[in-house]
Parts: sequence; structure tokens; C-alpha cells
Amino acid sequence: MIYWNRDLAARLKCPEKEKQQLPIFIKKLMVYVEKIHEIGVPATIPNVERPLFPYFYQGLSLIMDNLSTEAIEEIMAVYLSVSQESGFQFLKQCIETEVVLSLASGDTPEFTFRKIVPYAGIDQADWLIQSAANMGTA
Amino acid sequence: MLMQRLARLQSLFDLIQKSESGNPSEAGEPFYKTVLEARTGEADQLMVIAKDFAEYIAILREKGKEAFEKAVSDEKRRKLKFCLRILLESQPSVNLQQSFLSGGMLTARSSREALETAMLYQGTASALKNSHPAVILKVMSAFLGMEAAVQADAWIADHYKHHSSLAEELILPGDMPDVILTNLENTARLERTIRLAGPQLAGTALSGCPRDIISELESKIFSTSGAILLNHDIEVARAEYSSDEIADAQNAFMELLETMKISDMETATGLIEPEKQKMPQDPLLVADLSNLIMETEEKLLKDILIRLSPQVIAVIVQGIEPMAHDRIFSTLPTAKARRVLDALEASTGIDTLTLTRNAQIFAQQILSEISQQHKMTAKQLPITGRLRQLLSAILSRE
Repeated sequence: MIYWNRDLAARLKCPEKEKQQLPIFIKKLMVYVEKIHEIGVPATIPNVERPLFPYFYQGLSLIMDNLSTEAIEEIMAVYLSVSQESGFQFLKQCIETEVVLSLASGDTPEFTFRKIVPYAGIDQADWLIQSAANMGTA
Repeated sequence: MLMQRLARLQSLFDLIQKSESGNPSEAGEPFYKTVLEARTGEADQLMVIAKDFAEYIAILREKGKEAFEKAVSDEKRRKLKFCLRILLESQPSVNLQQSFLSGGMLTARSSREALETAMLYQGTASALKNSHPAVILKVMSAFLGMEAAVQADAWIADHYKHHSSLAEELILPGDMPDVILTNLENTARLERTIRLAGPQLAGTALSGCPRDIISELESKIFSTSGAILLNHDIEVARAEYSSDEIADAQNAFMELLETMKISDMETATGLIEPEKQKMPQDPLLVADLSNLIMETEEKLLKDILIRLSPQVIAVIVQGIEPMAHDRIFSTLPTAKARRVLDALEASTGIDTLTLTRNAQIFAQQILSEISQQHKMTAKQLPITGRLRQLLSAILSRE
């Protein structure tokens, strides 16, 4: 059963024009994901641009705290719930969190990528997958 | 899953807000906006509640129900006491939302109280799932934003400083310590294995390792809180599981690590551009060698692979099709497979000549093994036409 909430949906809503920036944001995140796959979280975390990716950074700290994926999801969901953002900024925070949860589950970069592209919407997702395939990332 | 969890949290906040005035329309602003003031202005007081709650759970876990009940009886704060009594009297399957509703606990007269209620609700839910007090504090302090994480970490480090290293040592015979040591240079794969295994399996597997290996691992992979939680999982495993069960967990962990290694190597092979791989360009040789591996009878293949050096097998593996590659790794004993993977990692690629020579060594081994097995019983070697053709194709190459 899919549990949904109207206020949450409203909070996630953002103009298409803003959404078009998501592929660039996702690609930037994927650079970190690839790095983590290659050298691990502790070696990558000092290089994460914390002001640009605060949720991603915080989530990586929770991974280093040896928490289960469920516990990380529980904590990150609270952070998101009390975040002061809505629209595009909130959507980006959700994507950062989704990447963290995927990493916490031990997913490969390809699988992480597949998990976050739907946030970009069907058209952008298609374009993202195509361009990643051309670059040999998905 | 994230969206579902967010939606559930949002529904809880809706309930708390609606209870504030009894009229939903008066609530106006969404929860996350109304709690900002309390989050920033009264964060210290709320943090005290979160820490006290975690402290109570620590008493329950470390000293038992009686000590917990005594501590709770002295508590004066109404909502905190209500939550603690739920933990004292209820089963883990209790309907928490219903309990809060019937206890009038979802009513909040101010944004501070709304935030406190949400925080206590989530803390109680986490405690009912038997989470460690450190995890519960992290969940509760998250309501105060990321800034509060530093305070939560400081409390955890201080409260559990005696858990920051293991007092006891339990060493089980086996490869696990060596496997951990060899993966400490670049911990990426080990980290992924730990995450995929989950804290419980990883903790159980590590519980049979020497203390210095665990300390080394903690310093490279985990934060202070992470080391404390790992040591807790290790202590639980040592108390609850037999040596055999810990050995099983170690085998499962090592299998998982091995799978990661194979998967990484396959991915790497797929990502490296062909001109950089120095892959053999002779498709006929690749096909013949792959077919030879697929055609060779299982026991015979196993005997030969055991006898061949890991370096020779590594060369062969680089020049065959995926199906044959899988057959080699499913036939090899685990320890030998590991050595082959190490040789593969050390390899800088192969050319056609190297592959030809090593394929011929492999083919000769097949012939020699078959003739060895049948020298007393038959004048002609019992080789199928197909196998004979493949052997001849490989051995006649220059």
C-alpha cells in the first residue's frame, strides 16, 4: 500500500523550470557516489561540499555511526520533516537523503542512480539514463 | 520508502496540530514552519528532555525493569512520564498513536509542546523497536535540526565511553582476521560489505576477531558513536551466540565480501575502454578456450584448477567469455578463488600470446590428467570428439 499525504505532495511540488536543474544536481551527487564506491565514506566525506549538500553530508556521518538503514531513514526523515524548505530545495534534500539510504543499503552506483532518477520526472529521467549510458555510468 | 515514512510523519504532525485548538483550519501554517521558533529558541530545554529519555532507556537496558520503574516513579514531567509508562507496561506491538490519542497526549498548546510531543512520540516508537539509546537520542535530537547532532554525539561519547573499546577478547580460528586486514588498505569494499550485512551480522562476524583488528577497523571506518555501537553489537553477539554461530556469521560475511570483490572486478572490466585493457584480440582463441572450459567434466576441471597456479588461472579468466568465467569461479574452492582474484587485481592486462601460452598449459593439463586417470584401463583416451577438437585447436597454435 502506498501511504501518501497531501501536504507532503504540496511541499514537494516545484515548477518544471526549476526541475530542469535536477539532472546537473544528480550528476554532481553521482560523482560523490562513484568516489565512495572507489575509496569509501571516510575518505570521501572531507571532500563533500557541505553547504551545497547538507543532507548528503549529514547522512554520510550517520553511515559512519554504524546505524542500520532503517535507523538512518528514521533520523533523516525527521530532519526533512523539520526542514524549513519547500519546493525545489526540499526536493533536492529528499534526493540527497535517497542517495544516503541507497549507500547505506550497500547499493552499487548504478542502482543508486536508478533509485534517484525518478525524482527528475519521466522525461528528465529518460534523458538522464540515456546520457549516463553514453558515458558508461548506468 | 522514504516518501512513505515522510507521509506518516506528516500525518502525525497533522494530528498534533489539529489537537492544538480542535480546529484544523486554525492551525494554518504547516508543522515544519510552526516549530521553527521552538526549534531555535527552546532547543536546549528540548535537548535535555531527549537526553533524559535516552538516559531512562539506558537504565532499562543496563539495569533492568525494576530500576527503570523506580526511576520513572520519580519523574515529574507529564508527557515524558506517559511515554516511559508505555514502555514499562506495553508490548512492542502497542498501537502508539492510539495510546497517545486516548491519553490526550496529542494535544499541544504551543509550538514548543507540539515539537516535544512529536519528539517523544518518535523516541517511544524507536524504543519499542528495541533501538540502542544512542540511536533513540539521535532520532529525538533530529527534531532540533542538524546542529543538535553534535550535542547528541557528545552525550553518546560521554555516556558510553566505557564501550569505546572492548574489554574481553574472543578469537575464533579462521580466515576472518586476515580478510579484514587485507581489506584495510582501501576500506571501500569492506565498508560496503558491512553496510550490506547490516550492523547485527557484521557485529556477530567481528565478535570472533582479535581486539586490535577491531580497533583498527573502527579507527578507519567508524566515528566515535559508530565504534560504540559496533562494540555493543559485538558484546551482544558474544553473550547470545555460540562459537559455531559466530563462525557461521563469519563465513556469511566473507562470502558477501567475496561476492563484492567479484562484482567489482566485473564492473571494472566493463568500464575500462577496450584499448586500455590489453584484452586478447583473437575471438577464435577466446571462443575455443571458453568452450573447452564449458566442455570439461566437472571433477576433471576442479582437479586441474586446484593444480594450476593462481596466476595462470587469472590469465585464463581474462581471456574467456562470462559463462566460462562463472564456471571457473563456481568450481574453484573459496580459498583458491580468493588467490585468483588477488592475482587478477595484480594483473595489468594480457595480450594474445600470453593467453595462448596459458591456454596451452591448461589444455596440456587436461590431456595429462585424462591419460593419468585412464593409463591402466584403456588404450585410447576417452575424449569426446568435441573436446579433442578444442584441445587440438588450442595446442596447435603458435
